[in-house]
This record gives sequence, structure tokens and C-alpha cells, in this order.
Amino acid sequence: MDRHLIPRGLERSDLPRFLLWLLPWVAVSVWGGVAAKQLFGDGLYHTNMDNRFAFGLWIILDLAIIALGAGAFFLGFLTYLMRRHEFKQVLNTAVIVGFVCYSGAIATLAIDVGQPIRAWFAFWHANVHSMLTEVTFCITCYLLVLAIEYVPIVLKHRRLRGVPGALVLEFNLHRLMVVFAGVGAFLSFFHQGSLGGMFGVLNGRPFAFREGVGIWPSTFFLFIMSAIAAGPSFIMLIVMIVSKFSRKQLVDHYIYSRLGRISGILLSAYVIAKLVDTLVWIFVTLPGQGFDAAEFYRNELFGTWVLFLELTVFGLLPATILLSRKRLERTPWLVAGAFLTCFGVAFNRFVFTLQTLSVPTMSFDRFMIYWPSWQEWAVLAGVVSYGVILYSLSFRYLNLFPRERELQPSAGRP
Amino acid sequence: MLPTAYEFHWDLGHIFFLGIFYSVLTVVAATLGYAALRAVRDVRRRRAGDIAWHESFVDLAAERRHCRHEFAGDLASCDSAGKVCSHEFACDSCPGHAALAAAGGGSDISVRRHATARPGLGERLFHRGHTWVEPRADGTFDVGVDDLLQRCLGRPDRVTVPGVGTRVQAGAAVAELQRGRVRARLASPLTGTVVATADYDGGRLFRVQPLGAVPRLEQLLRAEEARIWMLREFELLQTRLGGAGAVPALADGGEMVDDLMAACPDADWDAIIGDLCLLP
Repeated sequence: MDRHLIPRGLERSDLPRFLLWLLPWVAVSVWGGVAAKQLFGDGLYHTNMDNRFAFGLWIILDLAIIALGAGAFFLGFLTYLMRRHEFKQVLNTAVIVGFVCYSGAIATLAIDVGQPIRAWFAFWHANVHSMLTEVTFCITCYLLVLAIEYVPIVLKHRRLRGVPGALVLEFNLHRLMVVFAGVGAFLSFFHQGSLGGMFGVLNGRPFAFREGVGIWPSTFFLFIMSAIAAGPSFIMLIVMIVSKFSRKQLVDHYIYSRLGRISGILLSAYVIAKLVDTLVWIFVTLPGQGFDAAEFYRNELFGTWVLFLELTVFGLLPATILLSRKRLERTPWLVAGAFLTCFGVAFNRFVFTLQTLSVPTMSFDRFMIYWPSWQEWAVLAGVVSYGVILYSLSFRYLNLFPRERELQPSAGRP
Repeated sequence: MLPTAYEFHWDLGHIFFLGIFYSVLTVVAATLGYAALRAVRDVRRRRAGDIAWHESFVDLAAERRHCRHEFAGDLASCDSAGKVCSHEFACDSCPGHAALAAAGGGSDISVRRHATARPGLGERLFHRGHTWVEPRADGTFDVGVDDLLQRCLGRPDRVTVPGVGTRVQAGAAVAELQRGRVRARLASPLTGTVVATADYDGGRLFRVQPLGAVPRLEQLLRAEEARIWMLREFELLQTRLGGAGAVPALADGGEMVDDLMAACPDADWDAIIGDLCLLP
């Protein structure tokens, strides 16, 4: 029924099957929408956040998806500025995934702020000394850049090709894409860093507080490093999942191993930096403030296993896997390495957000834990569903993978 | 935030932070504006056709961008690596093609043919998108659809051609044939102005007065070269119609039917026609 909207030569499932695929995601989005309506209408009392847990599930989601969405700026940087043109094969996916991640994060933040009609305050009455202000400005600007990068992909739709001027605008935008890639890299570098810096400057939260260089605590750099390590892995996993679901080879196999190798190198650098940072925190920063690191790991739920997992299972292990050329050639190893890398960065954001707030900081404090309300889960699920829906529509109607058609055996080549 | 907001102070923090923010916004807005201005300028200068062809060309699979010199077996002649054209089939801008022409052509059919000047009356020159031009005595050229595409589409339900006075651009889509839901967007083989339209008799579409005294025809295929190319196109069609894993087999005789689309209704004609016409 919608054959004339699908790029020529690309095989996609029939429309009823596609709609059936979308149905549960739409249902979950509606659930998220209902929760968002309640939160906008009644306020944040529907959540389980309070004065202690001012940051909750939504901030964990924001931090995680912004880190995972780093593949968009990093692959743009590699393709346009470092001239690694082989990554054009996955660049469209990186842009869309980035757009989904950042728009989802901003939508969640709008709900989290609680008074969206006053969202403009963040821009007009900006506290320029706040890391959060930098984050707000940067992610808003970067979403604009991602939207601009998305436009040429849409303009190449087969039906829009016939619209006078559409291809001309696409051509001219594409020619200047190096500028947007540069701006995107600049913005991403700072907001990824500022998200980490936001924790590192918390003087009253010794679990998160870090020393660093100038005004930037070490977490500023660690967040950047972990994001650019996880970004390529996340894009690789997305392409692999889409490839599995659509039962099609979408990119050349060597692209996966190259993305994996880049992730491996960056993750290794991150693990070393994280190890040094942890040692400095344990032996210099905390004693200087009169704390013992063990105090932060004596509580229920957050034991030393957290640190162990972060450094080894989600750090050293995937780095070792992704650095081995032999393992990069084998899909199960590649998937395992990429998955651990992505899960590791999300886990790191979870620890920084929740453990920081859970552990007591005063002698009269006690360990506390927070569990999100259904409205919070619904918003999270809604954002994930929105991402799946937007990507599914893009995959169906836009030519996301330039080599897809050539790679299909049904193309009938000898 | 602007200096009018009451929180603003003329200190380093505000100037530095907001300075960077507004610089980024300015760069983004300026780049976007520049792209829009260039787009408007390109449309006004009638470069839309060139750009459309460029965009179509970069989207073509490598197997659809073979250098013409490969047809003649002169594999190492073109400057494009892997025998794939990187000059959008504009042979007059290809150094490899020029080098062959300067060397006198040797065994290469295309260069030898192109060493001759204007094509003779009635001689058809083929565009790789399955359109042709045929010179006429009055200096105009007839433009039409080749036999292969006609047989693929059978009798089209609708033929759309540009009106008299329309300027057409080589490589850009100028006409459309529609059969059912399948649309063949046809590329113009040369640049010029439409002076007459035809009724699709023998595949004829319209007549063009070429731009300039010497029309650019070097990119078009002729005679023996076109015959080899057409055989390649038959092979492509055969593999496409054969489905997954099909390979061209030795011909065992027979004649191509007049209406392939009716003969093979299950084939993905949308993709096949798009491939043949080089327009996605």
C-alpha cells in the first residue's frame, strides 16, 4: 500500500505487519503521554522524588541517552572532519539515533522541570556559573544542529525528490555539513563534560566530588571519554539489531569491527583514567575531606561490587574484547563488548546519580533509597517508544543505509 | 539572556559564556542562511537539474556507474579506480577520457568513435538512463526512449513530457512514463530547449534545440559501444528478473517480448525501472 513511499529497490515488510510492529510502541507512548499529562497538570507530586532525591530516574535516563547518543557527534566528527568516509554507511543512523536521544532527553527534562511554561527562564535568567546552564544551552543548540542534519536525509526521500528545490537545498546543506559537524562536536564536548562536571563540583556530596584541572573536575573529562567510547558501540548495536530484525545485511561487516575497535581504544583510555581518578579520590580527595572511601560502600544495595563492576566487568573486560583483532571479527564477542560498554556507561550514570544521593553525608543522615513511581517509569518507557517509532519510520521510508541495496543477495548479482 | 536581563553583569563569566553561546548560534544561523541563499541562487541559475543529476549519481550502486571504457575492454584507461565513473558520466570533464582521446584512441571503441565530430543524421546516441538523441537536419535533436525500456514498460498508461519552451538539463529528470504504480522518470540526454513534443511513437518524446552552437554529446554512447552497453543492460535485467541468486546464462535464442511487465508481473518493477533510468 505504501510501496511508492519506500525507497526504490529496498525490501520492507508489508504495511499491516509494520503497523502491527508499531502498535505496542504506540500504546507505550500513549501510556507515557498520559503520565506526562498528569505531571504537567498536577505537578511533580506524582513522582517519588523529594528534597533528597531531586535527581531520579529521568536524570539517569537523560545522562545515559545523552552519553549513548554521542555516536552522532563522534561519527560526524570522524566522517566530516577526520575524513573517515567509510562511516558514511552508518552516519544517517547515527544522526537519527542522536536526534532521538537528545529530543527524548529534552522532553524528559521539560517534564522534570515541572513548570515547562517557565522553561525559558533557563535561557533568559541564566546562571552562567552553573554546569547545568551550560548543559541546557548546549543540548538545546545541539538538538537544533541534529535537526538540521536530519533534514537532508528526509529531503532525499523519493517523493520529495520531485519537489522543486528540495534536492538543491539538500545538496547545499550537505556541502556545509562539515560546519554543523564541527559545531556539533564542540557543543557535545562541552555538554558531555558539563554533565560530569555537574557531579564533580558537588562539594557537599563527597561521593561525587572530584578535584581536577582549573574549573573542571575530573568527572568533566571522564564523562566525555566514556560517552565517546560508548557512542560508536551503541550505533553498532542499533545497526546490528535493525539488521537482525529486518533480516538484512545493512552495512559491510568491516564497519562493525572498525566501530568496535574505536570503542575499544577509547574505552581503554577511559578505564585507565577512571582507575587513576578512583585512586586519587580514595587516597587524596576523600582523606583531605576527612572521609574514608569504605564508608560509601558499607550501605545496603551499593557495596564495593559497584566499583568492581564499573572498573572490570564494564571497563576492563569490554576494553580487552574490543581491542583484540581476533575477537572483533567474531560477532558474539563484538556484541558482548559493545553491550558491556553501553551498559557500563548507563550504569556509571546510574551510580553517579543515585548512589551520590543515597549515601549519607552528615553524621545524622541515614542511607536512603528511592524507587520511581509508575509515572516516572511511564515517561521513560514513552521516550524509548518514541525513539523506536521514529527510527522505525525512518528506516522504512528513508534510505538510511547507502549500501543496503548492494549488499542484498536478492539484488540478483552473480 | 541579553544585557537587559537583571541578572546580567558585565563580568568575564557572563561575557565569556554568553559570547560562546551567541557565537555558536550565529555560526549555525549563518551556515543555515548561507545554505538557503545558495539553494535560491542555484535554482535561479537553473542549476537544479545538474544538482539533481549529481544527487542521483552519488546514490547509484557501483555497478550502475561503470566507466564506459570498461565496455570496450580498456580497463585501466579511466582515472576512476575500480572502473567506476566518478565524473557523473560527463566524459568531457574526465582526464582519463581526455588522455585516451589524445592518444588517438588505440583499441578503445568509445574514443575512436568520438574522434569523429557531429553524429550523422539518424544516428542515435544513447544516454545511460535509456534515453536517446537523434540529430536532425535543422540542428535540433529528437529525444526518445530506447527499445529496452519500451519493452519493459509495455504500453504506458501515462506519458508526461515537458512543454514547448521548457529548458531541459542533461541528466535531470524531464519526462515520466507511468504504468500502473510504476513510474519511470527519464533523464534528458542533452541540455537545450524543447521545441516540439511527440506522441511516443517509436518511443519519441520531444524535440530539443540544444544549448550553444556545439551540443555536448561526448557523454553519450554510440554504435558498437552502445551495443555492448545494451548487452550489459540485458544481463542486468535478466538477473533482476531471475530473483535471488540468479546469474546471467548463455542465451539460447528467442526474442524479447513487447511487454515484459505483463509477462513478469511478480518482479519488482519499481526497482528495475529505477535502476534502468538511473534515477532513484
